[in-house]
Amino acid sequence: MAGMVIVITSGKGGVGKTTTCANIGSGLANRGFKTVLIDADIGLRNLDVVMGLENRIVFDLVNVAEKTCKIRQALIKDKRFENLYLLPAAQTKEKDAVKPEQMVELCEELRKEFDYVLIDCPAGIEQGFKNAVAGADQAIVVTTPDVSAVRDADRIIGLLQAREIADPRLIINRLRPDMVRKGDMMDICDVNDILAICLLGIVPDDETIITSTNRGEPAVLDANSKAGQAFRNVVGRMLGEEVPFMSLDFDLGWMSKIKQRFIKK
Amino acid sequence: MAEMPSPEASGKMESLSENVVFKGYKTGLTLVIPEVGSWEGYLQDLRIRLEQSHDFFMGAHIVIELGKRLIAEKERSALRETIQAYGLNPRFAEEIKNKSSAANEIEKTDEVDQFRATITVKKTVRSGQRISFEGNLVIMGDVNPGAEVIASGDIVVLGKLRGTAHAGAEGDETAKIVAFQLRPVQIRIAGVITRDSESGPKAKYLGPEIARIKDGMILVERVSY
Repeated sequence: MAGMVIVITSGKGGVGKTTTCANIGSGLANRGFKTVLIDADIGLRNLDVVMGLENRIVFDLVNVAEKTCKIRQALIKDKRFENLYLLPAAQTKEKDAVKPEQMVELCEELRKEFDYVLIDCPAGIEQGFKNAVAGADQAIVVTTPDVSAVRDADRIIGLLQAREIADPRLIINRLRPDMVRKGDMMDICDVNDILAICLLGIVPDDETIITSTNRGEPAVLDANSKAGQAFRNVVGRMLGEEVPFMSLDFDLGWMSKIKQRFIKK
Repeated sequence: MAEMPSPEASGKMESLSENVVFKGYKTGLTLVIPEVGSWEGYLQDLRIRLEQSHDFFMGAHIVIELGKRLIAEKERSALRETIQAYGLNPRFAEEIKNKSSAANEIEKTDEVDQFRATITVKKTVRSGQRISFEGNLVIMGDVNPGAEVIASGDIVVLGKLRGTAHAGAEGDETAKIVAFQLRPVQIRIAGVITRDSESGPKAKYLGPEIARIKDGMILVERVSY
């Protein structure tokens, strides 16, 4: 069976696309699926750093697209997993160095060999976005509970639907239970109310993510990390398992807020 | 997917006196391409419009009105293919009837037609999307912040209106905006503009509301029929 090509996108920058991509990829590989991560953020590549594979890059996405090397030569095998590979972006080129048709071709090639092809999409809705979504079957939209991030996610969902990637799924990243409880942050209901798409996961704001990102070790492998647990749950849901949403300590505040709403009405 | 316009092409577009126009009549959707001006420019403009409309027109029947312009059979089939590529079913006006000229037809329709054309959009209009229509507009879904809906007639939103809405866009002051929940960033009716009150972000939900012009101001009240 041909593999699935999933693009991870957000519109707004800095909401955690790359971290999400690294974690979901590692999570899928950990479950035994043959997975490849494509960094489509040409000129601002990060995924290699987050994965701790920067020093192994020889060829990159642009070389593959221009056919100056074979796909196999550009793929970097992960340190930890046998079945996880990275196709890094070029750092010295720009987004228009690759055309959407080339991405489609590349995705078609890769899906023959891999179970999952994850594409780390750059921020914005320009050429880089168009390249990243060109070959994708599915999309995961990452947002933080900010008004501006949600607005951009909404725009992205519209653009994805216009490209017939009909049912994007949502990950709400960096939720701060304490702030939600105080009413200083949008809660899940608010976000869901506007975006109204299937929720794939809620990742709490977690300091361990920063250290694990800097060290190049995805948090999903850290048994003590809350964010890591959230990403493991996301992977479970992607594989069709029924995983209940994590019982974070905001549950109480969230439920009581719903109750309050009912009382108001 | 059509390619995005090159800067050169969009520059050309601006220099055109008129653009291609989508019109909605009782009889259906019509695409009017002006009789004079660069054919290539209009084609480019059309592609941009269709690109921007996303799958909005998907499956619609459309009549192509060329007026007195004569085009080669090759161009004709190219135009037809361009439109079909966006999921529309095009027909040329002269194929239906080649008697009355375009201008007469339009005037006649406007005179006789007491009932405006109405279209239904069965999806949520999201940020950055824009739906405009000559006639009434019914949205079965939400209008999210950052989205724009524009109609020359009334706008009805069977959902939450949280974006920008402009009814009576061609100056009809009797136009109305109705929504299950009316929380727009801004609403305009004809030439009157009003914005959301900046006080409470979460006002109590009262039920469907209607906005219309009264004494030169936009008045919002609960729907009570």
